[in-house]
Amino acid sequence: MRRPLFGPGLLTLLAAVFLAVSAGAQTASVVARPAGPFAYDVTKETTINGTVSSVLSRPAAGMILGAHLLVTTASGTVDASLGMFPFAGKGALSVREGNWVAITGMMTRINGKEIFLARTVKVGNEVYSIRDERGAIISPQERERGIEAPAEKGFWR
Amino acid sequence: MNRKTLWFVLLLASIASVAGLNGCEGCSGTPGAGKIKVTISTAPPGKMETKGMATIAATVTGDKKNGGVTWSCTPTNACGSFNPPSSASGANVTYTAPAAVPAGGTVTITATSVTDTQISSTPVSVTILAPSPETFIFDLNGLEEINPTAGVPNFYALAGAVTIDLTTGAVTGGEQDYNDGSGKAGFTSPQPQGDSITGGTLSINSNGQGTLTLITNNSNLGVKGTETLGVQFVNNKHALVVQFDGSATSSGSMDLQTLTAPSGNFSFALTGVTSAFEPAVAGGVFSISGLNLQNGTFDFDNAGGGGASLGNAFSGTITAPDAFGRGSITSASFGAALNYYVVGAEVLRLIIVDTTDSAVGSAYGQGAGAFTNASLGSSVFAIESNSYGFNGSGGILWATAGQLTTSNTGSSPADFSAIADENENGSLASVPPAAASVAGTYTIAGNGYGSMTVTPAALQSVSFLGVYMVDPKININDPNNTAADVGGALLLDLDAALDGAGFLVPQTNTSTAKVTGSYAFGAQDFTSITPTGNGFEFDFVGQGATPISSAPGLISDPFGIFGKTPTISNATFSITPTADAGNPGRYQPSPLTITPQPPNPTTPPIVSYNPFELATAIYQADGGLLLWVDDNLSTDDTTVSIFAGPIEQQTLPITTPPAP
Repeated sequence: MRRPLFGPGLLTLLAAVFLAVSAGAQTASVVARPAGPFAYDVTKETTINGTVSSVLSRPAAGMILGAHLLVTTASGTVDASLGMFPFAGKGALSVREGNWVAITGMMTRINGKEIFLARTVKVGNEVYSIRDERGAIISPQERERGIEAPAEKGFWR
Repeated sequence: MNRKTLWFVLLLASIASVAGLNGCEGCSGTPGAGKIKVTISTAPPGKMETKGMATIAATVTGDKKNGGVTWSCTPTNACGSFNPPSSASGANVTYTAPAAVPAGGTVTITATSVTDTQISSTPVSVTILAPSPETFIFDLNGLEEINPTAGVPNFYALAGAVTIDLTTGAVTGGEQDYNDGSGKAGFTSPQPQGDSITGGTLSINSNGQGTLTLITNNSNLGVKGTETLGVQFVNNKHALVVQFDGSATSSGSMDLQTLTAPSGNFSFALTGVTSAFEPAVAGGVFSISGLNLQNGTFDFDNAGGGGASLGNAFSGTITAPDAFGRGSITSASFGAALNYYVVGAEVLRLIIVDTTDSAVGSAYGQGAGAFTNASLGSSVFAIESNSYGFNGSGGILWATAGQLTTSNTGSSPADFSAIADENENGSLASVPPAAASVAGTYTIAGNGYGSMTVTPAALQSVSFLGVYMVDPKININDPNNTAADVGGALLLDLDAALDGAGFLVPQTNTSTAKVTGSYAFGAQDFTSITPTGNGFEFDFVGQGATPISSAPGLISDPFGIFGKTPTISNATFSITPTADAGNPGRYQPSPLTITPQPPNPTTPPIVSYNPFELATAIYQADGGLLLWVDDNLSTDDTTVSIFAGPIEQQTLPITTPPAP
């Protein structure tokens, strides 16, 4: 089958070239660096399913900063890290003990303990975004404003 | 001459000698005392400001008893004081001018022999002047209690100029820029005029600790428009400050201004948040010629997971500084509106004044420039995230401090090795008491723009730093003190999972014996212990003689980490550092005990964490400056606590601001 001259593939290519040129006008170089125990790698994402056994708005003993969900799964209890303010602002996470959840994220090891860095939490039919695909926490301010992440828009805005 | 006549002549001569009639001014004929003469050998300056200090000395000759002198002055009780009030011949004495200009405007200083109180020096007159109001520049960043977004506190930055009548402590004027990036009217100071400071009071004790109130024309800020800063002066020209009124908490500094138009080459660093409230840092180099900002290169990192954006060119224009030293910087290529405040010819404070993003920082002159890899030598360093570090891709509040040495500086890249203590959300880079060993490479360009690459995983998420060299004659921490701790560089962490801002300064003396006298200290602490799970920052300043034991301090705690008192004025701090024998310059993590209130407090009780213990490692640049970092070995294992900050040797007493 012949592909149309201006089909999605070419448009995508043109868009990519345009974006690259735009970025190049602004950015001398973008350097991705190795990023330590808190680094988020979207290619390593998995999804866990289970029942919420605890909703912690602040960390318990030995936990890293921020809010946590303890989720009972078929393979044991998972500590899911939600960042600092997942329960605040427009579209904030709404979850209770006993809820069945599907959490997409990445398992990592910090201070000798396994922690699941949650990117999305599905409760019932609702999917809540905790991080973006770069792993950046979606702040209450960002949810309130409904803005794009600044990496796509410029330096400060 | 017969025998009777001879005896008579000898008797007259003896009487004349005893009576001092031998033509010797200031001499004595007291039996057994010899011919005493008193001279003020080190005189005070001819003009001094009220409360000013001067070193004086008197030389005594002909005094076989070596009795020295006592010091006196007129008009009595209004002429100042001497410390000590008596001194040996040639010994230095500190003269402190009176607190107020005396009648007639002059004082007279005299040194009198102790052995023969009839013998005094020629009096010296000093004209006493009322000091002119002085302008100080302040800058802070931290976390707001007021104006939350969806119940969540915002990052905020504050910079300004305040003019203070140092004879009374009265604030006579000033202006400031406040910015929380919330986009709500009033919480970014209106531009281009900013907020006016219309009054207030500086009130401190002789150890330099107290408060500065700033009455502004912006009723949204502070408490109905009045902001209060907790201040801890290090010397008469430099203070560590925290916001101290319950409306917000933050840490920063305040420095005496010498107003001049900015010019020449600068390095700079800023820390703040983007409009998505991701933590962001920017830094690099630029030059100012006339009203043009040019030759700019900057790095930017919003810890958004995509990596830092390096080597961005920028240029723009500036406005000339106004009477308070405030001006603006316009640069489309930088992407944010900036204001500056002149501290001195080579030091500017910078603040972003956009309504939906915010940052604050500094620019430092680079002197003659012409930097190389050899410009960087043995140094101590500290870097900390800002209060919104948790919103990066790694969600990390973090801090580090350490010391490094360089090698192969003739090569490019050159090499460095370091030890450091580093804390990311309570995850430590090393198991205390050990420090993490770090190595890597770095390059410094001729314009002072450079970078460091850190061995992966040695410092957890820290792998890449921006390095921006400053004039080797500038003191980054205390710009008016160029006698020590000069040179170094501004640092930015530019990693994918985190970012942060800090500095390094040369490490010149690691002898523990150099750590002596009184020190002022402060820190911006991020913690997990807030009872409400909401705000998470407290800030403190204090001072005390080494070893720090029950040193008095101020804690800003609007989020109730220690209880119901948002401003704690009677906190004490104690730490007994243990030198790391294997690493001169480092002190192993030792408990920093913070006692927010004494036992049996009379004010609203502390709910918990009284005392609060934090394992704290220290690195010594020299006797004048040490850097400390919270190594998180709390006795309470539910506590995550993170800070880095300065410990600076004081020059006491603090005389510039008035005692209460």
